[in-house]
Formats: sequence, structure tokens, C-alpha cells
Amino acid sequence: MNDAALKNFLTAGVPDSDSPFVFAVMKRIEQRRFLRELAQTAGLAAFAVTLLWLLAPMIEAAWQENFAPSSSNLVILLTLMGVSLVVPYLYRNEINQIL
Amino acid sequence: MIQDTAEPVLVARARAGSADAFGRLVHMHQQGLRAFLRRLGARDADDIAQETFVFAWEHIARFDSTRPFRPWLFGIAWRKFREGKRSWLRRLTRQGHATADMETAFQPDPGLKLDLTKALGDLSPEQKAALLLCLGCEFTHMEAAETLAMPLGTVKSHVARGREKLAVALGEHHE
Repeated sequence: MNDAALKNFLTAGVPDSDSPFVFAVMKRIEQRRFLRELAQTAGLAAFAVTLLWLLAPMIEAAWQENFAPSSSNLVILLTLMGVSLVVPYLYRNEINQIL
Repeated sequence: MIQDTAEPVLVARARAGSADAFGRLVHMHQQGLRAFLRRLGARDADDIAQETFVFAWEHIARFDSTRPFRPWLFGIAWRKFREGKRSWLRRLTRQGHATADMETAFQPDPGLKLDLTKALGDLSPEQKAALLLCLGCEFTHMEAAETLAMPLGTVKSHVARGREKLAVALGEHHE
């Protein structure tokens, strides 16, 4: 048996072209990327929740002390800001026609 | 068009983040890599091959593009074969890509095939790897040494002894 025949023996059984295999590799790469990003997001979320939990007493105290008396004014202010941001977005076609 | 599909171009594009270029590299090297792992005796050769490509994609920025790509890729596969165990992440993302029957495409003579398989089985993993790379995948001794992280002389010795054992196995078959 010469080297060419030996090479045939050693590489036997694997097709030259195997799209399902390539697809499986690319899918695995994508899954790995997704899991990594999910783990990062979950880690950040856990950190944020813990931080909020630790700071909650301070935030509550600050709220009661400084903002609670004027909370109704704050709600009105935030509502007006929200409306002013949303209305141009909802009616942008009409506004563009007028302009 | 030929230049666009040349390996160094594909490697450069993959290093720049092109998944399409990397897919072409997978397509180019899957046959040799899977055959190498199967003949090494890896039970889940296709799974290790997929892990090798995933690892290569994730670490391609570290690849020295002035060197050939194939020894680097096969070196990863060799290390993964040696590690021999799967992490929980691998199990989680494992595909149901069943290992195909490797003995279907080339069956010159069942007796001869058995002798060759037995002769390969008698070699040490290092001897087998060196022989497979140099005879099966047409690596130079230098490339095989780089892939297996072995001295050049050791690789030459493994190939010579492995070839000798195969020749003996074939001689016995023909007697």
C-alpha cells in the first residue's frame, strides 16, 4: 500500500463537503455567544438589585425628607415631560406634512 | 474570486470578525480535522472537532497570521483530545451531530482494514498523531512538531516507527 492509499484509509468516511457540520459549528458559536451575554446581563442585573437593596434605606430616607412633600408636583412635572416627548413621536407624520 | 477564498484572506477576514469567512475555513478544514480525530480514536470526534472550531473562532485574534493556520487549528484539536473531558457548557450546547460511520467510504479489503486499524490501535497516541498528520494530512514534520508541541526529532521518530508498524501489519496481511 502506497502513501496515497494510506491517506485514503486515514481520511475515509468524512465527506469533502458537509454543510450540516459547518452549520452545527456556527450554531454552537452563536449559542456560546448568547449564553455568555446572558450570563453577563444576569450578573449585572444581580449586582444592580443587590446595590438597590443595600441602598434602599438611604433612598427611602432621602425621598421622605426631600421629595415626599412635593411628590405631586414631581408627578405632574414627569407627566408633562413624558407627554412632550411622546406627542411629537406619535404625530411625526402630520408634523412633517405641516412643515 | 480565487483570492477571496484563499486561506490567508479568509483568516484575515475572520480575524476582523467575519463569521462568513470563518464558516468557509470550517468548510475547508472539517474533513481533515474530523478524520484526524476519528483515527486518533476519539469517541466523540465530531464533538471535539466542533469544539475546536468554536475555540478557534473565540481565540482567532491571538493567532499569528504570519504562520500557517492548519497547524494552529490541529494543535487545538490535539489539546482538546488530550483533555478528553467536557465542561458543563459544552454539554449544554452539544449538538446532536452523530458521528457518522467512518468505515463506509474506503473499504479496499476488510482484512486489510482490520489490520491497519489494529496496527494504528497498537501505536501510542503521540505516534498515532504524528503518523496521521504526516501521512494522512500531508503535514511536514516541522508542522506536525508545531501542532503536537514536540521536538522535531521526536516527531520524525514517531512517524518512522509508526510507518514501520503499519508496514509490518500489512506484510502479515499479505503473507
